[in-house]
Amino acid sequence: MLKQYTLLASLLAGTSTIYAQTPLEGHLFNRSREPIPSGTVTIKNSKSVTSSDTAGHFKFNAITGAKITLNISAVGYRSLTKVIAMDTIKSPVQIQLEEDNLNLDEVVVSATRYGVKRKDAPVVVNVIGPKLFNATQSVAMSETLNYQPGVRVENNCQNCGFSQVRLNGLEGPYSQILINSRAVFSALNSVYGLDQIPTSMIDRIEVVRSGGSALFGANAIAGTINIITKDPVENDWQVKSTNSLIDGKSWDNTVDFNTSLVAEDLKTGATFYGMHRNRQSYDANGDGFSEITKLRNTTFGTKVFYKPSDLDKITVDFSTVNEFRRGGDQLDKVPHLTQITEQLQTSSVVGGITYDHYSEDYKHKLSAYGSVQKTVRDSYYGGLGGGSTLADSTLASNAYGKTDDIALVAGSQYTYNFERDVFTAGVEFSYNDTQDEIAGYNRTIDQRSKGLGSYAQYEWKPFATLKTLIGARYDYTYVDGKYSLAGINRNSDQRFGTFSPRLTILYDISKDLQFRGGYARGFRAPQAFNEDMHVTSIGGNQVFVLIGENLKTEYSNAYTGSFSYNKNFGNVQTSMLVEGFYTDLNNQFVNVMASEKDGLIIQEMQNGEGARVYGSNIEINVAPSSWLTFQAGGTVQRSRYKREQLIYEGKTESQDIWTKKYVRTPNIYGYMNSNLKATKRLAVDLTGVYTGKMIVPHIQDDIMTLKDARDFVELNLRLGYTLPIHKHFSIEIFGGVQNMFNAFQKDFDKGPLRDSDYIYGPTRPRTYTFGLRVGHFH
Amino acid sequence: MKYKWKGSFLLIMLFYPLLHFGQERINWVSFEQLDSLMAVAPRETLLFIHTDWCSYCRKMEQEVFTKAEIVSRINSLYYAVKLDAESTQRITFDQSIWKPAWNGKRKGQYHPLALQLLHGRKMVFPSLFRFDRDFRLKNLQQKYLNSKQLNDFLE
Repeated sequence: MLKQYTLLASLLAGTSTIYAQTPLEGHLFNRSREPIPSGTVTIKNSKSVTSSDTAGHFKFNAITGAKITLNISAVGYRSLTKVIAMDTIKSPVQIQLEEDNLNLDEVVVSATRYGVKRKDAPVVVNVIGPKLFNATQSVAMSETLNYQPGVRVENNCQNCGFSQVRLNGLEGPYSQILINSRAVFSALNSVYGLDQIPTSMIDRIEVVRSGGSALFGANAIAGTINIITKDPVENDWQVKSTNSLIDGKSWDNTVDFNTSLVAEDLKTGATFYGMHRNRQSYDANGDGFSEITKLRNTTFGTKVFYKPSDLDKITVDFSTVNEFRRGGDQLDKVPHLTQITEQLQTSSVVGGITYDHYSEDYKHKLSAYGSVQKTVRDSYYGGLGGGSTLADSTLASNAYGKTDDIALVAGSQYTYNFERDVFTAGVEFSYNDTQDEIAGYNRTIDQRSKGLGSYAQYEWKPFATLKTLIGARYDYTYVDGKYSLAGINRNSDQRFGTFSPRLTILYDISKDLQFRGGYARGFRAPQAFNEDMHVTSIGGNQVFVLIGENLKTEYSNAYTGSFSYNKNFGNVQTSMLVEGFYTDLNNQFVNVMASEKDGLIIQEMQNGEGARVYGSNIEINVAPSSWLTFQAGGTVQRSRYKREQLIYEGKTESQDIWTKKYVRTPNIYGYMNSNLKATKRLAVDLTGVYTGKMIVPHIQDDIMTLKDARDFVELNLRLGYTLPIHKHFSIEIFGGVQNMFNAFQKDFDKGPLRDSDYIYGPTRPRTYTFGLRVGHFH
Repeated sequence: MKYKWKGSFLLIMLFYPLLHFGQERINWVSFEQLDSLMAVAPRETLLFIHTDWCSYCRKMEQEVFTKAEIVSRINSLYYAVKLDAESTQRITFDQSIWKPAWNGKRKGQYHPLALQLLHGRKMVFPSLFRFDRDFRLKNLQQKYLNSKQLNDFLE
């Protein structure tokens, strides 16, 4: 029907063949009216194609139809579709094309799919990576942390090897340990957890001194240690064996592996890691009592991801730790037949899931996550302690204990990227339930803590040279704890909300010089911390920490300011950082030790009357060429109570010990790290740690004295030689000596009545290490 | 039995590289060669800018640029050029000499040619450029491309 009408219409039109044979001319130009050459113009549903000449001019000789659709494309411009009605058109047609910037900005924000050089952040972030793990021949995380300014790892117990990290001189509980930015370290975990994390699972450790960001927890007063596990891209694998001989006497053997597999389209991937470590105990002074704990540890873990689309990612991680440690004497006997034994059999499982979603334009990002950790621990803290009476042996055989610990974190975080600024907000819920029981001492800890934190942070860049981070968090904390020991009962029942503002600025004074400044407020609720889960022995008696009565929450204000200077002198690249910090503590928790009573020594947690911790960190990096790098840093600080603080209550008042200085905190400490890549295959690393003089409490016969501990220089040397067998397969042979000048504490106590806490300085004497690494690595 | 295992392991180790022998690879050309090739027989050019430390770049080289269909497509229709953004080499291209003022290779210290090519863009890697026969920019991607995405990019 229709066809007939058309035919009729064209017949009626007769000779006028306007529709059928019109030429069409046109011009292509851009916004600034410049002609676009080599543009392609196509007529839809036909075979007519033409292109524009150097003047942007194009022409079709004959066009059929009343209405045509033109497709215009040109390199560097957005394609355009234009409908043209032939009867109304004025030839030549003027067509303007919009330039195409290829949407580069969007691509760049997608964050996960390209490598970028680490950008300057408003807070000073120090990164410890695999290079340093290798250079220091570390198998566990605790061994590498010393190589950052303001960070010091110390061993606190000869029997069980309890170690803690001090940031800017403040004890372990003042800093927050995060795994992949999540607080999954529970109160119990952080006692020995630092030894349990194998370096093979770690991509890098980010250390932030002073809690500068609202994203970090409120207890991150001294700072945060963020362990970032490997997020694989390439298909790699490696197996490593590390063997050390401590002081020529005790072996420490570790085998670890890690492997990663990622599909070519990056949609799925997995990493697996594992470690087995077996360390013999070490006795420094030949008294039959250990100075370094016997340790057997097996860790296995995996991290798997799946991307249903380019905008979504689901990550699941899982790990298990099984650890046995024992220290004291006669390590092959049953614990209760020995003089001192601290034995811990820990089994822990951690699992977590994360979901990340980006919006189409990559401007919004939403993450939701949850992590659970369950730890079961069989403990023995006790022994005959030099006694031989029936009461001694009854107590010894009842010193077996059991601990159950569950920690849970769940939360979500939202990020919005403005053109220059970034807004972040989130909520996080945490739960920790700790049950600890040792029948023989009538000791129980029954503690539940819940926390609901919400935070918001705005990264504001008003000028190109100024970047600020303004944020705040509000935490609602609930602690319900019942603590009892030898007939004494204590409670902590707290519900309160705290507001913690945080502010950080970064200002580029010149191209080479930057200033950073920050303020952070934080708090610690009265509850059992890591050291409270640990029992030590002094003079044959067990030492317990007990929460005091009517404890108040501890508050702190922390200020930091730093200048960093980066400059290249010819080929020599240098950077330098000078940082000042000042932390003011109110109602700070102090453990006051009382003298022995009924075979027990009680350390009661009390509120102090304020303290100040201040000083400066210095860091220098020099890289004269690509094969030689040198780093050194150090800290000079003062840690003082505002008033004389009682730390030991003696039998008589004259034996009380008061101090204004913090104990076990040196005023000066530092590190250095130099790497020499002599050839492509041979690498030499020389690293060292300096621990300054400090005062260390020592108890003998119920009398505490504050001893002046000497300073130590610990130097380590490592040589590594890589044999590239094939493009995808290398073998590395390495060897070295740690603490080569054997700077080690000389005055350990002897025998069953020793003060097990009297330990300071480097954590191991001269140790020879050698090993082999095979795999596909970079 | 034991020796048999050891023996076969050794044999595999020795001959493993041969497994990759004969497999077709991308025929990467230098900038200098590109200059003369374009003068004689113009083709489209694929430029791949990478760095040593960029794991996504390594993955592309190992797993995407080795796919048979990608290799044959690039080798038959394109000139493929690789540029290490932190290279310290002297490069002669387009009637100019591009030479860094320093000798040592260093992270974040970019070659002048890389700076020129990425001018006004973010210094992220890998960066892939597709130029037409007259060496005008036709397409650009600054991220990891899997074989499907690279195929679309070269479409």
